[in-house]
Amino acid sequence: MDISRIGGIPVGVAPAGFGKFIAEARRYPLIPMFILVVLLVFPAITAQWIAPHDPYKVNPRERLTPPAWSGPQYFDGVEVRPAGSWENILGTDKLGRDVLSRIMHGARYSLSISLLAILAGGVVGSGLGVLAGYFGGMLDHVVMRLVDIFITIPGLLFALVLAIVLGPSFSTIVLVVAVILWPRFARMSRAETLSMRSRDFVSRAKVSGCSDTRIMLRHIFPNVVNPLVVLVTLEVGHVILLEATLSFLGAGIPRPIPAWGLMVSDGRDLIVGGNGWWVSLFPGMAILLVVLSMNLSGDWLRDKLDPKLRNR
Amino acid sequence: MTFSGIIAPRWLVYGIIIIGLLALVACGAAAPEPAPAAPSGGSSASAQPAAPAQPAAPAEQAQPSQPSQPSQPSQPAQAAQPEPQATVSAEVGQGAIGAQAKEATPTPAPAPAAESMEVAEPAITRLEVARGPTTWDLIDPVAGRGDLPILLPLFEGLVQFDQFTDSVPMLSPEWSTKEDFSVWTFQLRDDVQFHYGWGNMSAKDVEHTLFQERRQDHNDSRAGTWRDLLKEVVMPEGPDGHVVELHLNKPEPIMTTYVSTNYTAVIRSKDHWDAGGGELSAEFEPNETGIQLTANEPIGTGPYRFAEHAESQYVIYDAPEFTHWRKTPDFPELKIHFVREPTTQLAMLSVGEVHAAEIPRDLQPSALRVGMKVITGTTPAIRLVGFMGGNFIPSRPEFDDTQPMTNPLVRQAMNMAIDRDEINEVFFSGRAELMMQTHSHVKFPGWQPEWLDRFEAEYGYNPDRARELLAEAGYPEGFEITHQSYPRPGLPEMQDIGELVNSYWQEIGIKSNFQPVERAVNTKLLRSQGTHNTAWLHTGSFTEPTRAIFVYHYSPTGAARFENPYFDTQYEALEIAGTLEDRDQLIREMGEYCFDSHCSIPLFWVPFEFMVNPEYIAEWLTPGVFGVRDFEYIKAAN
Repeated sequence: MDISRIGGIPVGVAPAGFGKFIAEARRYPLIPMFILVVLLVFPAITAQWIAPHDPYKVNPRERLTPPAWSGPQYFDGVEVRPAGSWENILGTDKLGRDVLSRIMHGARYSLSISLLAILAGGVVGSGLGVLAGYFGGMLDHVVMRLVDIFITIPGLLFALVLAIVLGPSFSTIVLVVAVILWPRFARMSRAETLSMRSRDFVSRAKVSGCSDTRIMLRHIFPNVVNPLVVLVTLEVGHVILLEATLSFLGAGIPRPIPAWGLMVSDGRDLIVGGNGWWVSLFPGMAILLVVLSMNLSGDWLRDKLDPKLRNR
Repeated sequence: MTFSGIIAPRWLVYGIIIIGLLALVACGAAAPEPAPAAPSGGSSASAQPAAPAQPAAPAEQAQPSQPSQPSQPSQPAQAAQPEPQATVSAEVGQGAIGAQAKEATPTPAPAPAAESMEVAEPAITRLEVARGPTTWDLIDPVAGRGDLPILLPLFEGLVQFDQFTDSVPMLSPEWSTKEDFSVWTFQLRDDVQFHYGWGNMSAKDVEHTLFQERRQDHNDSRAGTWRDLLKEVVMPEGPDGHVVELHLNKPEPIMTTYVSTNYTAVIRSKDHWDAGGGELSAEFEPNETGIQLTANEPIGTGPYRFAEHAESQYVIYDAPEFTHWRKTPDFPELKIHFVREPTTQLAMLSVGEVHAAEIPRDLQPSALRVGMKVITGTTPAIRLVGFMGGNFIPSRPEFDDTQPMTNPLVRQAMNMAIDRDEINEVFFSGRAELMMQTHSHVKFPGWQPEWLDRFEAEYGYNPDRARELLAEAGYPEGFEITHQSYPRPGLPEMQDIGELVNSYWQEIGIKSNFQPVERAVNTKLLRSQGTHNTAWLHTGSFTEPTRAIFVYHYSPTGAARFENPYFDTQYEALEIAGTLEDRDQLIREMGEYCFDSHCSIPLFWVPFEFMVNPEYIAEWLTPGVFGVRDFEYIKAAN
C-alpha cells in the first residue's frame, strides 16, 4: 500500500533537494531575522570598522548632501543643491555628518539600550514576580499593588517626566525604560510561578528538604523562563520605539549621539519641500523595519515555545 | 506556521520594503525644478561689519484727522481668560533700546505728512500671520507679561524707533531736557484717542502708565530700572493737559529709550483702569484683579485695536472705530497665529492659510519655490554671542581662579577655535554681521573702529594658535567643559550652530560635552553662580549697549555672564554720566576691556527674516527686532 496516498490524497510527501531547503526555510521568519541582523545586530557590533565615516565628524560645507542616486536640484536655472555622492551614500545631515554612518552607530545605542533596559527591568520584575508568586501573602499583595500602580501610569508620559527630571542621558533612558518594563515581567513571572507552585515536582522538592531559594532558582525559574524569553523579544521592539520616541521629543539620548529617534527629529523640518527628506527617512525606516522584524520574530518564537501552538 | 502567523506578515514586510524603495526613487528623482520667481528682499552682506543702511525718512506721519467721539464707550470683545504660561528671565520682554541718544536739545515736532490718498485696495481685508509662540501668552502690558510683537499693534509709546532704530516722535511730538538730564519734558499730542471710546490721551494716562511700570508685581526687570530712575511725574497743565515732566533720581541722557515702545512703556488708559473698581487705586501694590482687567480688555491707542484672543492659538485685531492719527493700516484686520512647528507655518503659508510666516532659513527654498518672498529686517536684530562661565568677581565665594575659563588665554583659544566665516556662510548665507564684542555695534555709542583691524589677529579662526594658547595656559591636553545649548526664538539654527561650535572646541582638544537644555536650566545655573566649566551660546536683541552691559556684566544683578570689578565701577559711572560724550567714552572703554580680555565669544548680528506671500504683501519695512511687527506699515499688493 502506498502510504503516501490515502484515499487518493497525497500525505507526508517529503520534499527533496532545494525544495527541502525551501520548505525548511519557510518554517523560520527569515526576512525579519535577516533585517534584524543587517540593520541592528551586525552594525551594532561592527559599526566602528564598517561605517564609512566618523558619525560625529561635522563637515558644514557638505551639509544636506542628498543620497548618492539623487540628481542636482535647480532653482531659477541655478543649481541650488548638488547631486548626491557615493561618498555619502545616504546623504548628510544639517551639519554634514554621514547619515549611513550615524544609522550604523545608532544601531549600537538602540540595541544596547534595549538589552540593558530589558535586562534591568527583567531581572527586577521577574525576580519580584517569582518571589510574590512563590511566597504569596503580604509580599504578593505589596508587589502586585506596586505593579498595578506602575501599569496604570501612562508609559510615555511617565518616561517623559522621569527623563526630563533626571536629565537626558544614556543611563537615564536605560533607567526610565527599565522602570516602565519591570511590572510586565513581574506580572508574567508571578502568574507562571503560581501555576508551578502547586505542581508535584515542587512539592517533592520541598519534601526532600530543598530550601525556598533553591526551589525558586532550580525548579520554578527554569519553567518560567520560556514565556519571559518571548516577552523579551516582544519588548525589544517596544523599547526601541520608546527610546526613539523619547529622543524625538528631546527627552531621550542627547545630541550629538546618533540615536535613531533623534535623527528623525533633527530632520523633521526638512521633510517638506524635499530640502532634506533623507535626514529623517532613513533612520525612520530603520526603526520601522527593526521593530516590525523584532515583533515578527517574537511572534514566531512564542509559537515555537508554546506547546499548544508549536505544531499548528 | 499559519497564514496569519507568518505568511501575511512576511508579505507585509515585502510590501513595506517595496513602498520604501518607491518612495526613495520618487524623492530622489533628479527632475529639474520649475523656475519660480526669484527671491527678493534678502539683502546680502559680507561677514565684515557693514554700516547699516542710511536712515530713511521717519515713520510715516498721517495727517491728523478729527477723531470721532463715540457717544457711549463700547464693550471690548470677550477674550479667553489668560494665565501665565511661563516664567520670564531677566532679558525676556525687554524692549530693544536701540537708538543713540541725541535729544539733549529740544526736538522739533515733525510736520505731519499727508497719508497717501491713493491707498491700494487690498485683495483681502484680514492679514493672517503665523509666528512661533511668545514667551508670555498674554496681552498684558501692566505686569510685563506681554511680548512686544503682540502688544505693538495695540499700543503706542511717547517715542518710537523707526525701521533704522532712530528715535522719532510718536505720542510725544517734541521733548526737551535740562542740561543735566535730570528733568525731561514731553509734549503730548492732543488728537490721540483710546480704543473703544475710552477718551483722549492726556497727561494723566502717561502718569498712570509710568506708575504702573514701577509696580511691585511687575514681572519684567525694567520695573527695577523705573523704580531707581523715576522720582515723580509732574503735569504742569493738569491731568487733562498735554505736557508731562519726568523728574528723575539721577541724570539719564537716554531717557527717550526708556519711554519708547521698544521698552514696553506703552501708554494705557487711566480711565479704563479706574473703571475697574476703587480697589485698583493702590497702584504700587500687587493687584491681580486690575491686571486681569487690562489683560482681558487691553485698551491702547495703536493703529489696531484688540478683538479676540485664544490662548496659545491666536490674537485678532481690527481697525479702531476712528481714523487713526498716525497710520491707517492697509489691512483693516490682523490675525496672528501662534504656531510652534516651522513646517506647519510653511504649510499654512503655502496653501494660503496665512500671508506671512517666520520660516527658518533651511525651509525658505521650499517657500520660494511656491512663489513666496523673503523679507529681511532693516536691522541686524539678533545678537548671537557665547559666554564662558565661572568668571565671577573675586569677592564671590564661588570664584575659583583655577578654573580654566577664568584664564584669558583659554578664552582667546576658545574664540580662535571657531571658524566664523564657515558658520556665516553655511547658516546665514553670509548675511550676518560679525560681532566685535558682546555689546558694541557700529550703530551704537561706544563703537571703536580699531576693533575691525584687530579682530582677525585676536579672534580669527586659527586652530593651531588656539592649541598653542591652551598649552601656554597650562592645558596642553585640553580640559573638560559642558556646553549647554537651548533654543531661542528667531534663530532656529541655534542648536546646529551650538553643535558646530562644540566640534570646533573638540578639535583643539577641549573635551566639550554638548548638552541641550531648556533655557531655565542655564538661568538657574547663572543665578546660583554654578557656571564653572560651562559655556553656552545665547541670543539677545539689537539693544543699546547700556542694557547689554547691565545684563551681561554688572555683578549686582546676580546673573551676569562675565563679572569683573572694572565693569561694576564703569557701569555705575555710566549710570550717572552727565553727557553723551562721557557715556560714549565709558561704553567704549568697557568695550575695549571686553575685547582685550576675550570676555565673551562674539559671533554675529543676524537679521531677522520671514516670508510673505507677494500676492498680498508688496512691502514691509520693519527692524525685525523681536520678530514680525510693524503691521501698520505693510503695503498691500494691488
